[in-house]
Amino acid sequence: MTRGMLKAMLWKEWRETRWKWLAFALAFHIPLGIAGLVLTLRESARFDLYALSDAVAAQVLEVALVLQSGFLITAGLFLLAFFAVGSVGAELDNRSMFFLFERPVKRWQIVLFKYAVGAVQTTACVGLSILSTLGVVYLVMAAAATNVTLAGSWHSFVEVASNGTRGAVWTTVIALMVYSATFLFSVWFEKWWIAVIAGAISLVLMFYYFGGDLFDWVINRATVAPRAGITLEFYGRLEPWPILFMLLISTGLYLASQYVFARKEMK
Amino acid sequence: MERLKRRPYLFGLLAAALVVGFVALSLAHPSKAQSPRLERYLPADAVGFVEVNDLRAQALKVIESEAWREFTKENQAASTLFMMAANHAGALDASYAVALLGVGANADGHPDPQFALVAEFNGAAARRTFEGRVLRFVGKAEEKGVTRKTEQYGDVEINSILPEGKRGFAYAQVGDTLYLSNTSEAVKRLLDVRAGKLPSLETNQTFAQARALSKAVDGMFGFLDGARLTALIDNAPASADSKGVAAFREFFHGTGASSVQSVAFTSAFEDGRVVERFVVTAPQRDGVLATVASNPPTPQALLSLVPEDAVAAFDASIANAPQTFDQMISLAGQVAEQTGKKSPADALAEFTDKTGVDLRGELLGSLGPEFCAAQLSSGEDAGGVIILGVKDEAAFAQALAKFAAHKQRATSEREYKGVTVHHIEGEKGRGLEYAFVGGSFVASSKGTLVERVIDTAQSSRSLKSSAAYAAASAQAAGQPQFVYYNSNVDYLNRLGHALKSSDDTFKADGQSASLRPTFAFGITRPEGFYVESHTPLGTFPRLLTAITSKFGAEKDNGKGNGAE
Repeated sequence: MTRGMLKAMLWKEWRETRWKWLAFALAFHIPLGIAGLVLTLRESARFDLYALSDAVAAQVLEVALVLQSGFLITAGLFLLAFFAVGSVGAELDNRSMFFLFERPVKRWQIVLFKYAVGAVQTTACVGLSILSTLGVVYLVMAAAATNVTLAGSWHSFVEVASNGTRGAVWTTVIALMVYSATFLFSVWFEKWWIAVIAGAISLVLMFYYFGGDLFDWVINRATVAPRAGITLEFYGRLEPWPILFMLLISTGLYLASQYVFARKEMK
Repeated sequence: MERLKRRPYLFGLLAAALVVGFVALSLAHPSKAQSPRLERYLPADAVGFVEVNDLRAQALKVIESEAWREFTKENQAASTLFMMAANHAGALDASYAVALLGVGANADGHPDPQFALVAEFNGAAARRTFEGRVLRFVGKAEEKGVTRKTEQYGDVEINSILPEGKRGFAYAQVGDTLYLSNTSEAVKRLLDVRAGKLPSLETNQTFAQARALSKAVDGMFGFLDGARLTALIDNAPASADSKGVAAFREFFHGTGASSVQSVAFTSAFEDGRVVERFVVTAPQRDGVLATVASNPPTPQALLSLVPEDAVAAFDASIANAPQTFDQMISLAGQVAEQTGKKSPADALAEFTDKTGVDLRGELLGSLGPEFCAAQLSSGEDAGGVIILGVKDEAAFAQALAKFAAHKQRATSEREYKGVTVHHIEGEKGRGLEYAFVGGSFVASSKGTLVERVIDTAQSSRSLKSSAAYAAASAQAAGQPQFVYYNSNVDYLNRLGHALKSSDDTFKADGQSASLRPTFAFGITRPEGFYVESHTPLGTFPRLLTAITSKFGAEKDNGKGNGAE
């Protein structure tokens, strides 16, 4: 494969998924949208925002961090599954995949490109949504609250955002694992809706068996700490073994996708 | 159609436009509490009322105010939590009016004032929250000692709650308006106004004139109908205590209060501060009121003796003080005759016996046209000084010397920068320091404060010549009879003290801020009196404190009960 082909493959993937990715990125900020609606429609919520001061900005940011993290490891994973199911199956369904087979590109390279571009898009989206949410909350507070200033609440923002990066690591790894599983279903089933059902069932099973662990790793330790409120130092404490384990599962699922694709009968 | 199918975002844009339109419409339309005109719900013969319009809007203006911003810098979390507590107490989404409707007679024949509270809520949810927290007796109606009666009046149900051994109350609700009173008769009158059977206060010409004279329409508005008040007092039901009622009636007319047509009060935010205005309409004044009104404007000359860093100063014209004193003594004599209590002449004689000084002849008779009281420092060094213009310095000094001699108090003198500072020993180590500076009598309990006045008199830097006072007093229109100035250097501490709860959340000392000074003035006008004050927050913080503490407590109690 030449450098030109590599660029062409990447460009093709990006061009085909960029609008979907943008919609996905927006969807990952649904909590912000809900908060915006509440602020618009509820006078008492606007009053609370208006009454904020620099001293309590940290608490608001902490709540935003926990809510966004909670969204990412629950509803966000279903959104992610919807994004990933169209990776391969849709192209098989509409037969555009066969156009690629006419090119001098190996099958495994096609899957690799699709997986890599999709994985980068989803994990970047998930990981960055925590920081972008905190950024938006910080700016909205500074703009709307009479007694919150950018300078006065900067320290709080930096503190919460820097702690939030641990949550970003966790959610990125979890998202990669869920993406890899849904990608496998996308390779496996040509009909997208079958892949969606398979993805949803596997997600439900994952929540049934590991849901509690997910919440413990990311949120629970911070919210049920001895101190009242949210204890940032306990938020998303990094544990190498679960992370490594999920990365291994992701790798295994990717290899399984390659295996299924290589042996898939396509007409 | 095919083109639309290819552009699904057009549907998205349309949906978004509809949502934006709906939100804009709902925000643009004022809520009931934002445009209440609560006078519509009060009877035309109401004696007076005070209304607070759209409490949430007022609370937002408090947050935006210069003083609250400064206060928040020092009390960041506490000030935010205070406002949030007020927000969630459930009482902000409304406008309220408290009115005195008149006086009836209770079962014993004693005069019984009829008060009413009318609350216009933004919606049913706000009204229910209020009912749940304020009308707590409703929830306890079945408890021992509390009787609940229900009466149908037209198509409205009036509920009367009568706790054993306590005053009860009655209430009714029509839509999002709640009527509450200490008597069910008053609630019926309010309902009659609502039904159009009785004319509303809006149709009262005195009220309409007073409303027109008041500049502000938002914030707080108060109104008192002088003629109704006079009629109320003149026609008060006779009872066993008729002597007391007759004496009060005498006093009321003697002070000239009966010549007041109306009083209007407004309190509103302007330029990040609160401006409060009293308009007393009394074109034909009688009695003491007429004498006070004929006082000439204060020359404010004594403010030249007040140091420029004074915390507060009050300066008033007292040119008619002797005549006012004479009238008050005469009036008190008439009242004493009716009640059989000690006459003022006896009280004055007793004063002379005890002090050796003739209050009217020696002190009041020597007074000049102006009086000034100032606080020169804050905190632990706080101290006040009184400055009086005197017509006869020697006579005034002699009266004080007589007082000291009669009381057998030690006296001493010392020189300070060419001025003699006198000292009269007092009880418990306290005493009086005084001096005559430029023809004015200066007195304080602390010698250092008298010295500071002397320093000011000998320098060119006084409160009157200061830029802060000049800027503050520029707000006075005309020639005032009195002025009040406060540098507000201690305002945040006072605010913290006023808002402080048992949790000790607010700082009450050690705070300083450069707020614009408070300034108030009063002027006599042909149509009556006009008083205007410019303060950092007025009475709003106290109003919110009352709501937070009362309603918040109800909320907590409710939770507690629920837990049980």
